[in-house]
Formats: sequence, structure tokens, C-alpha cells
Amino acid sequence: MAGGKYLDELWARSAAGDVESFNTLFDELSADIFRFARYRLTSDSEADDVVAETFLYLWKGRVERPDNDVSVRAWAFGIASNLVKRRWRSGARADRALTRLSAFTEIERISADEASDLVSSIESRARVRNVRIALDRLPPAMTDILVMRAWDEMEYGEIAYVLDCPIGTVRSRLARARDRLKTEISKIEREPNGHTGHVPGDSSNTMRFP
Amino acid sequence: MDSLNELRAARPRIAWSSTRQSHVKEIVMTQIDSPEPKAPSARPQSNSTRVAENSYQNNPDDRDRRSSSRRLAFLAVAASIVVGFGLVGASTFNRTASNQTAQPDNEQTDTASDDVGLDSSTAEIDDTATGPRRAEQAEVVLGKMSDYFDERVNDVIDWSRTSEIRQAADANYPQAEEIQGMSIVEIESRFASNKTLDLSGQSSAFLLSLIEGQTIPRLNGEPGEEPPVYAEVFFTEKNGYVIGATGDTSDFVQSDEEWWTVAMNDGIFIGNLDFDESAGVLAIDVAVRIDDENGQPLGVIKTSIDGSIFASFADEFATEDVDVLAVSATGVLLADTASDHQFVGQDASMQPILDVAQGMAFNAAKSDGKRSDFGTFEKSLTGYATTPDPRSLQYRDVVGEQPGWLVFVEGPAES
Repeated sequence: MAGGKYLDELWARSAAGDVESFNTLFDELSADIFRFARYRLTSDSEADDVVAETFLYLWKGRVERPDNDVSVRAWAFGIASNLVKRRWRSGARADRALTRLSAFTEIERISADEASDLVSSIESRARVRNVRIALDRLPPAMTDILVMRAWDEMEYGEIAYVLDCPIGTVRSRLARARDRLKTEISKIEREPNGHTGHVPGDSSNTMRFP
Repeated sequence: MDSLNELRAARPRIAWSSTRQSHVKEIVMTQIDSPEPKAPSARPQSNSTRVAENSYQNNPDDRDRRSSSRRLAFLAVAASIVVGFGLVGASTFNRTASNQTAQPDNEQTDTASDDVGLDSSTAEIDDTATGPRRAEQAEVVLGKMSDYFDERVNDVIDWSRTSEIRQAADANYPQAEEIQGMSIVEIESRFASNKTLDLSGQSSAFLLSLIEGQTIPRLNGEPGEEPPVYAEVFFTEKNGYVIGATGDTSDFVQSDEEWWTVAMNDGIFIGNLDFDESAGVLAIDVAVRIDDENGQPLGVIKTSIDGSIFASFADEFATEDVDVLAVSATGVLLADTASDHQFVGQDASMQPILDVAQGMAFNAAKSDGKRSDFGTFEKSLTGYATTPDPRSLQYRDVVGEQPGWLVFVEGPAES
């Protein structure tokens, strides 16, 4: 992940009309935006669209940027977050229900592959599975903020910007979400025959997001 | 292990191929190098579409990426429309479908329309009946919202004129005399355990009787879940000291609050619709000066009106195909049936929460002065209505910006 200061310098030059700097900014930031969108949408194509739209919004907004006091990374996440929500809304219009994060096949496949590298024991593999199940059992808002912090690697300030709340609120919400996640993991581990719910990362199910 | 670290360890690995990344980058950089797209009625930027096509023309198996190229080209145009709602004028929200008809400029872009749903843009859409109806529905929802808000403000004005409130505000309280000359910090410390002057509790009990049983009906809510119409009510005497309240107030001294000074000076204060984080609801602060029979100021009464009823008004008009969305003049999302109101309270004006058509309607409403109209975009037909001036309800003789809202009713053009 590129440093925020470096990104902001690139952005400053981009805002002055330097296309080459914007090109570099895309290289440094686009993968983060893609992952952010991909965790929350159902396909790579949709995530591609969100990346493209986000950068077009950035470019178009370079003159009249609404929030000059936040980093370009936070701003980009904020735009991507709203684009994701707009897609959820479109999904809702189609089926009267919010589109939920697909537990995409590709992730599951990669996760299975990496299991041999990263999860060397059956216990560890089960633990990863339990954590994901627990995550899915949390209220959507808790899931979202935990994923922002743990998977999207967003700073507190960035999360605060995306959620439009003070940093203190982010800290308290995260603390509550972590406690709740811990509780849910414990519950799952106590379940005698394992879980019966949805497993994030399982292609046959979906993961809840707000 | 800490639960957050466990979660990190459980993160799915996402692979974004360099080919795919390069492709998206190419689309973006092509767009920003191109002249500004001028209108949604134009076909997707044919140049970028051609570039995208060319970049994959030697790879006929990659149909998914070709499809993505066309979609991204369209999205680029759409994005440029919504950003700030200012790059494209109100005229782009086409009054009739015939205005947005565009001629296909080549075979490739014609094919692209299959992917992005542009087919309808080349067809005449009969909006002569549906368009005015959508605009009329938007007006009805808007009227209900405005009437409701007006009634609530009148409630507060009526409360300020009750003999109970006036007498309580005009009474002499020994504690008030004891704290004369003390700093706010000292006063707050002294009243930390009980932040009211009326120790008998009669004033608070009277306020509770005013709002008792007033709840917001939920169309699909469970019994007992209805939120109160008024989040809280309290009033102060002329120095800003709280006399009675329906619940715990954060401070005993309110004279340093903007709403208090504005109400004392101007007679009434109406705040912007804002999202109350602690209560999790939209609310509008309303404060009214308490005057005696001769018009002499005695104090201020203040309440917060819960704005979640706007969602209920919107739900009444939503159908399987038609959605209702409301936005405050300051850009706060008030209701959105498409998402079951999941994003209420968020800023819809500076970020792309609104659909393209809604964004253009927002722009049109703000710029052309019409209070109600309709227009088409792609396959949707959107009617809208606004308060007299989107920036103001022009409430009574209140000076300055006041709450206003815009309502959109959106659905398929052919229905």
C-alpha cells in the first residue's frame, strides 16, 4: 500500500492537470479500490466498473474537490463506497432486496489454494472458516467496519470519512464490533456439529453487507 | 489472538490480473484525455469504445472484457454527468424522449447499446401520460412531507403559548438567583445531577403529557417499534437555564447554543435536517421563543422532530416498478424505497448516491426554478417536485436558509 503522503503529492500534481501523475496514482491506488469493491459486489466486472468510475470522479472533481482536508485515498474510498451502494440500490430495484456480497468462486478457489501455504493445519483452516462465519453473523454495519479495517486496511481517518462520522465513533464502533466478533467465534466453536449457516467465501452462499 | 488479527488472517485473497487492471486504466486514461462528454443523449464515447475494441480485437475469446469496455465507456459518460451535478446543464434531463434520440454512429457502438441498455434511447417513448403522473406523485409526497413538518412546527408554537409553559418560564426560582455571576462551568458543575430549575418536576411532567403517545406509524413495522414524533422537548427561562425536560439534557445552560440565541432574537429557529448518530434517526431541531401576553421574551422551548416519517410517506407511493426518493435541500438523503431506506442520512449531493436520472433532476430542479417536472433518461422516467425554493420553505418570516426537499418518483418509461 502506497503511503498517503506520496498519494497526496501525486494527487496535487494531478489536480494541476498532470495526466502522468494521475496515471501513476491509478497504478498506486486502483488495486486497493478494486479489492474494496470486490469484497462487496458480485463480480470482477462490477468491481472493474467501480474502479473506473471512481477514478473518473476523481479526475472530474479535481477542480472542485468537496473535501480538501482529507487524503485522496480516503476520498477515493468514499467515492467507491457510494458507487457500491448505488449498485446495491440498483440490485434492490430489480429484486426488492439489497444485493449482497457474493461469496465469489474465485476467492474461494484462491483461498483453497493458499490454504496449503497460509493455513497449515486443519485446526487453523477451521479457525479461518469460523471467523468468516462469525463475520457473516454480525449486523451488516459491524461487518462493514470490520472489513474496512481488517481487509481493506483503511486507517481510522479514512473509515471516518467514508462513514461520515468522527474518528472517536469509528474507534468505539470497531471496539464493539470486535467484541461481538469474538463472542460469535466462541459461540461457533461451541456448536457441537459445526455451523449450519452461510460461509463467506463459499460460492453457494452470499455474505451480508448493509 | 485478537479478533481483528484473526479476521485479517481470514481475509480472502483477491487477484486483480494485470491485464484487467491495464484494461480499466486504459479506459480511464482515454476518457480523461478526451474532450468533456457533453450529454447523456449522445452515444457512449465512440472513440473510447473503438480503442477498447481494438485492444481486444485479437483476442476473440475475451467476450467478457469487450462487454466491460462498452459498459465502462457508458459509465464514463454517466459519471461525468452526475459529478457535482454541474458539468452538464439542466437541459440534459430530457423533457421528452425524442430529445435524447441519438443516431448510431457506427456498428460498434450500436452493438454496445445491447450491453448498456441504450436501446430505448433510440426509440420514441410515450411519456405523455406517465411523465405528468410521476411528477404529480412527487408533488403529493412532497406535499405530505411539507404539511407534516408545518404541523409539527405549529405544535411547538402552540406549546410556547400555553399558560403552563409561560408561567413556569416566568416563575422565580431560588436556585437561579444563587448562581448569578457564576461561570457556565461552575453552574454546570452545580447542576450536574439535576439539570432543571423546576425541582417539583411539574414542568417536565407537563412536557411529557404534550408528547405522550405521539409516535410515527410504520407501514411494515412491528407494534411497539414506532419512534416518537419528538425526540425530546425542553424549555429554558430567559437566561437559558433549563426548567423542564422530557429526558436528560446534555447541559443545564443552553444560552450558548446557536438555536437558543437565534430563537431569542428572531422568535424561531429551524435547523437543517441532520442525522442524529446517537438516536440513529433523521431529526430537525426547532426552537421557539416563549413570549408573555405582551410579547416580552420569557425563554425558549426546543424540540427535535424525527424525520423518519418521510420514509413512510415514500413507501406509500412505491410499487414493484416505481421507487420514491427524497433529498433535503442540503443534499441529505431522506427516503429511498429502492434500498429500503438503508442509506438515509447520507450526503447524496456530493457523492454519487443518486442515480443519473435523479442527479439530473436534482440539477434541473435547482437551476430551472420549476417546482415540478419530469424527464427521461435511458429506460427510466423520473418525475420530481421541490419545495418553493429548494433552499427554503420560506417558513413564515424566518430569515435565512430553511429546510427544503426534493422528491423523485422513478420508474420504467413504458409503464
